[in-house]
Amino acid sequence: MPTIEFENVTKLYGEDTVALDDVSFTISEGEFVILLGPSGAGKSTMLRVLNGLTQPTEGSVRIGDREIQGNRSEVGMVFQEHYLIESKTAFGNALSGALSRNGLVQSALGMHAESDKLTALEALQTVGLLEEAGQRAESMSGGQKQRVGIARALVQEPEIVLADEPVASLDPKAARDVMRYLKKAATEQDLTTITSLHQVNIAREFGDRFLGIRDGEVIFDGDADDLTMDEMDRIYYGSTQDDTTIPTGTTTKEAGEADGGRRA
Amino acid sequence: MSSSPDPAVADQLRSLKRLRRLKYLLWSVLLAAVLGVTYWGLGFIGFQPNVVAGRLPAMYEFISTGFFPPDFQNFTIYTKDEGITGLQAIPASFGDGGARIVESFQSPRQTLVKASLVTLLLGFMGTVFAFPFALILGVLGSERVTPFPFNFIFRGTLSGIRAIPAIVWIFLYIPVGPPGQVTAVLAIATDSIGNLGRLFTDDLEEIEEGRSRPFGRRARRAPKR
Repeated sequence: MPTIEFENVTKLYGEDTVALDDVSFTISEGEFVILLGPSGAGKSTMLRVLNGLTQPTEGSVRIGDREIQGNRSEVGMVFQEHYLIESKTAFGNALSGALSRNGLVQSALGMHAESDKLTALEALQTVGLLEEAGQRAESMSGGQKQRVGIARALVQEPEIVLADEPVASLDPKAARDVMRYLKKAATEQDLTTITSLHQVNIAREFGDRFLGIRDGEVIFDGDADDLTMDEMDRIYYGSTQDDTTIPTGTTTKEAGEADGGRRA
Repeated sequence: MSSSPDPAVADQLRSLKRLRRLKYLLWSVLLAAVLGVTYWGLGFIGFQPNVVAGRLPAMYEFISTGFFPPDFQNFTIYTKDEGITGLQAIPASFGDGGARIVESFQSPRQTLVKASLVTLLLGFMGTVFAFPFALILGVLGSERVTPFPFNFIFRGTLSGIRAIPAIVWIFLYIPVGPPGQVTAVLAIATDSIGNLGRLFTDDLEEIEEGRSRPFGRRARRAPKR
């Protein structure tokens, strides 16, 4: 498993919109990293740069000893909107992760190798959906669909999994389930995982390491113990706030949970 | 990842393969049924593909000599009378500050430009006549307005109208007048009621529940705070 290295990465949209501002950090293999920060802070841009979906304006991103150029098959992506084919089964959707290996025509005709089929079912087993493999995506709940999305990313046999707010549209229980399975998959397969989250309490529960991003800069880098409420305020507001404030994107309950009931 | 599959995974794969085989079997039966009915249908109506194929050269001849090269001599009265043929009849028709076009519109003689105007007017008037009826039927056909199953009275009416092609509506309107421009307007109007009405119904149905709720009956009755 490779390390990920951001070196002085700057990303501009247009001429003066700074999405990432001279960002540098290194992520070791097998780490489960959570990106925190208000909307528009640069979290999604960071993930898109990592996946090769967008190129940095300056600086370089390296996975292992290779610099990222273009979309990479060894990087699996889990999206907020799971983008499943609703009329296909969970198995069929998971199998579509093998597209980069099999090619479009072969996949469209359903001509998959036996090993890919087993991989797809094992991925569904990892996310707790083996029994539902034959169920159509359209009849699944949001949480189940997101777990199928994770399985699809695993079938890709990636070295790195990126998840862009994978639980943003889910209720707290489903969100925890999805994160639990994502963490389980990452641990079992020793995957380096980077996910952006708004639910601070869930983030603290599952993350090994947290990167706080604000205005395109990494202003916090530490573990759950370092992530105090003052740091949270700094990430979300830019300064320490009054105790009655709630971080952007978190519910009152979540904020309460995040600081041990101080704000509930 | 899959060197020695878990027994549960192997079982599930076998089960999915069985389902897939069953699905293929059902599709094969369905395909065979479709092909069988088609073959029987061809015989029943006396459709002989070899005869049709044998007549295709005549069709090609009809189109290639009847329509190509395009001859626009009938574009306006002017080009007819002057014997101007081919594509050059079009710019010639627009000469004299548009007077040749106006002359063709006013003349009782038939020209391409007049026929085009009549076609556009038929479509325009048919749509205008259809609009109020389509709006009423379309709105009443939505489940948001008329409760199920009563909305199907209106949806059914619209479906019934759409089921009959416009050309058939022309024949049905023969008692009103001989097949011509008047019955064409009526036929287009009737046909448009079916299509426009469906459009209005679909638009209403596609409005998200959350957005339409504040305008609903319950919302109007809610006490103001």
